Amino acid sequence: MEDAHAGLLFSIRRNWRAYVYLLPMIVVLLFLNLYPIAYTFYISLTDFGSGGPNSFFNVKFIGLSNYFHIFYSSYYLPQTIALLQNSVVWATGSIAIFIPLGLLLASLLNQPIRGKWIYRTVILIPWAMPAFISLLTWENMLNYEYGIVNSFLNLLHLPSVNWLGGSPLDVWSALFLTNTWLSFPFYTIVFLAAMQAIPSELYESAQIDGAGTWRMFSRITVPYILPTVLFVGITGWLFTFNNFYPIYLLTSGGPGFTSEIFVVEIYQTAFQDYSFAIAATYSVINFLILLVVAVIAIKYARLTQGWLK
Amino acid sequence: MKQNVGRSASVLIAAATPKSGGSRALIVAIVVVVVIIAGIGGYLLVYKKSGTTTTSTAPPPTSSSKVSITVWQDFSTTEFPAFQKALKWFEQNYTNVSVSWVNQTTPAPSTIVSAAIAGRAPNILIGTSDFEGSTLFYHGLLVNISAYVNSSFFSQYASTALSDVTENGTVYAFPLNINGIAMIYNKQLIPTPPQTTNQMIDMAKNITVIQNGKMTTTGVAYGLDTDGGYRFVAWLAGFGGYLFAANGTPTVDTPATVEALEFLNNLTTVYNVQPAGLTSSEWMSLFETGHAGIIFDGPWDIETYLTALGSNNVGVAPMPIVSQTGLRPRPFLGSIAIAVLNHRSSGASAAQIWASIKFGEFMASRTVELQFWNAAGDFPSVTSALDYVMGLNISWAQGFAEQFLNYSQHFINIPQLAYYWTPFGQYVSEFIATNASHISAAQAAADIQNAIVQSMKQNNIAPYFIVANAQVAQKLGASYLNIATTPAERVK
Repeated sequence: MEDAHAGLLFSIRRNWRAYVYLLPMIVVLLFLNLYPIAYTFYISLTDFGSGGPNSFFNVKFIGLSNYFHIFYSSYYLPQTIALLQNSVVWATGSIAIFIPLGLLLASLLNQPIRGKWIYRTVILIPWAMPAFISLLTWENMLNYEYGIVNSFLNLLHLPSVNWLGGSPLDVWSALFLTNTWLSFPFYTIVFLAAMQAIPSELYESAQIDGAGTWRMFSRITVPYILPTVLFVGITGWLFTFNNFYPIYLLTSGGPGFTSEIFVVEIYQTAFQDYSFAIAATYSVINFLILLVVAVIAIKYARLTQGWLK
Repeated sequence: MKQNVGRSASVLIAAATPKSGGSRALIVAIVVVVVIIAGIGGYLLVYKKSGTTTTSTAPPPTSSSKVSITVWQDFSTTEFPAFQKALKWFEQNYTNVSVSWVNQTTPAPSTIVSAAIAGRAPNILIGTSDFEGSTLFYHGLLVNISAYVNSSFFSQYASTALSDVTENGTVYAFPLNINGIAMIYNKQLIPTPPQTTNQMIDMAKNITVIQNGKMTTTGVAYGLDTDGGYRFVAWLAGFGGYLFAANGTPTVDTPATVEALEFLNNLTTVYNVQPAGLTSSEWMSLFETGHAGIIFDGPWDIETYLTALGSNNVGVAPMPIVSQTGLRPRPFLGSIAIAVLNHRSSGASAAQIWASIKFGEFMASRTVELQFWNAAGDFPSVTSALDYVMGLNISWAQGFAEQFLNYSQHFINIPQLAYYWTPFGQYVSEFIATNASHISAAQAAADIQNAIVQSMKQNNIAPYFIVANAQVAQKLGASYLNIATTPAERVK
C-alpha cells in the first residue's frame, strides 16, 4: 500500500501540470453541479414562492414542512406515489425495449452484409433530427382523427386508437413508441461498437468446434458486451427517468395523471404554479431516488461482472 | 470503491500538504487563487439584488443624460410594425430615452418570473393583464402605477380595461387593448349566425361531412380537451356558473360546470358535429381552409381568417344563448397591458422607472392604440379610440364589440386563478377519455375544485392559509382546515 501511495505521489509530482489544468473544470463542475444541488435542497426547506404575497423575496426557513406535506397530506401522498410509479414505468419500459432492440439491430449490422454503411447511416437519422421536431411530428401522426397512424390502422380494418388521450395502455404505448424512435440509434451504435471489439478468432474457434449461432451469441457475444450493456442500461434508465420532453410535449402528463412523471411535475409546479419550494422538494426526492438506484445498480453490475469472470 | 475513495483522498491530502520544494508551494498557490476567483465569480453570479421597491410618490426630474430601458414583448407579425412605429415616435418625443426590445417568444410567464427573482427582469413587460396581476403584482414585482400617475390620466380608459389592470384599488399596468373571444363563422357554410345553442347544433349538423369515417367538414371546431380552460369560462357563465366567489374561494364544483362540460363534450359524442382530440392548431387550420363552420376565437387571429377566407366570408357574432338556461356565454374580457418592473426585480434606477412610466403612458394612448387597430385589429382600451372604431361600422368589429361590451365578464386577476389552468387540463382530459380512464363530469368538476383548493392552501393564498401555530389557531377558533373568509381572520 505504501509503495502504491509513493508511486502515485511520484506521478503527481511529475505530472502536477495536468492536475492544475484540471482544476478549472473541477471548479466549474462544483458551481454548475454541486452548488445548484445544494441550493435546491436549501429551497426545499423554505417557503420560496408558496408563502403568500412577496414570498419570492421574503423567504422563510420552514424546515422539513414541505416533505411532511408531500408524504403525509391525504391529497399529495397519492400523487407522489403515482409520480414514482409512472417514472419507474417510463424508465423501465423504455429500457426494456431499447436494449433488446439495440442488440438485435447491432447483431444484424455486425453480419458481413453488403451496403452495411448505408444501413448504419440510415439508422442514425432519427438520432440526428432535433428531438423537438420529431416529437411535434409524432404528435400530429398520433392524432386520433387525422393522424397517419390511425389512418394506417383503418387501412388494415383496425379501429382508431386514442394514442395521446386514451387508456393508460394506449398512452404509454405511444410514449414508448416515440421514445424508441428517438433513442434506438444510440443503443444500436454503442452495442455494435462493443460487438466489433470482440476478437473474431473466438467465433472462428467456436465454429470449428461446431457451435451454433445462439451458442456463439450466448457464450461469446453476451459475456464480452455485458459490461457495455450494463453500463448503457443503468445510465439509460437514469436518463430516461428524468427524460422530460417526450412526455411534456406529447401528453403534458395527461390524460389526468396517467403519464405524469417527477420531472414534468417539477417543471409544472415551478414554472406554472410558481411554487418553487414544492418543486425543489420533488427535485430532492427525485435526486435521492436516482442516487440510491445508481449505487445499487453499479454494485450489482460489478458483482455480475465478477461472477461472469 | 471504498478503497478507491480512500486512496483518492489521501492523494489529494498529500498533494495539498505543503512540503519542501518550490513546486508544491506553486501548486498550493495556484489552487488557492483559482478557488478564490471561482468563489468571487460564483458569488457575483448568484448575487441577488435586495432592497425595497421604489415607492416614490413623485417621479424624479427628467434625466438630462441618456436613459436606457428594455422591453419584453411577444407581438404578432401583424402587430409588430405598429409597435416599431410607436417606438420611433416615443424616442423622437423623449430624446434622452433609448428603448431596446426583446421578442419574448418563449413562454414569457416562467421566464419573466425567473428573471425577476434574479433581479434581471426587463424594465417593461407587455403581456396579459391577468398574469401580470395574479402573479407579478401579487408577488411584489411591479411598480404601483397609481403612485406615479395622476388619477385623472386613467379616466380615458374604458372601465372594463381599467378594471383588468387594477387590484385592490391599485393600478399595476397600462391597458393597451381589450380582447376576448366571440363566435367566428364561415358565411359560406353558416350564412346567418345561430342565436341559440340548439340552432347552432342544427346548423352544424347540416354542414358536417364524414367521409370514410373521417370528419372532413366539421360544424363546430372547439376542442374541449385542449381548451386549457380559457374558452370554457364563457360556457360556464352560459350555464349560470363562475370560477371564483367574491371572497376568492373556487366555485367550480357546481351543477353549472357539470352541465357545461357535458354540453361541450356532447358536440363530439352525441351530436357528432366536431371531431375528438382537436388541438388549437387543428381547429384553426380547419377554419382557415374552409372546413369548419364555427369556431370561438379572438380578434388576435381575425386578420389570418380574413386573409384566408376573404373578408366577405368571415362573420363575428356573440356566442349563442344556451338553450337550456336562456343565459349568454360570457367570455373573459382581458387586456394586453404594459407593466413596469420595479427596482427589486429589474434593478431599475429611478430614472429608468420614470422613463418606463412615460413609455407606458405613451404606448397606451389613443394615437398608438389606433395604430395597433389599423395594423392588427386590436381593440383599443382608450374610450375615444374605441368609439372611433365602432363608428367605422366594420361588421366583424361590430360582432366582437357586441360580445365584449354587452356579454363578457371581467378577466379576474387574483392569484388563485393561476391554479385553475393545470387541473382543468388534467381532469377534463380524463372526463373526455372514452375508456377505463373516463371520469364523470361531476367527478371532474369536484377534482378541479379540490386541486385549486389544495394549491391555494399549499401556497398560502387567501382566504386559505396554513395555521402553523397552534396558539394562533386556538385564538382564531379555527382548525387547520377551516376557511377564513375575511381579512381580519388571516394570519400575518
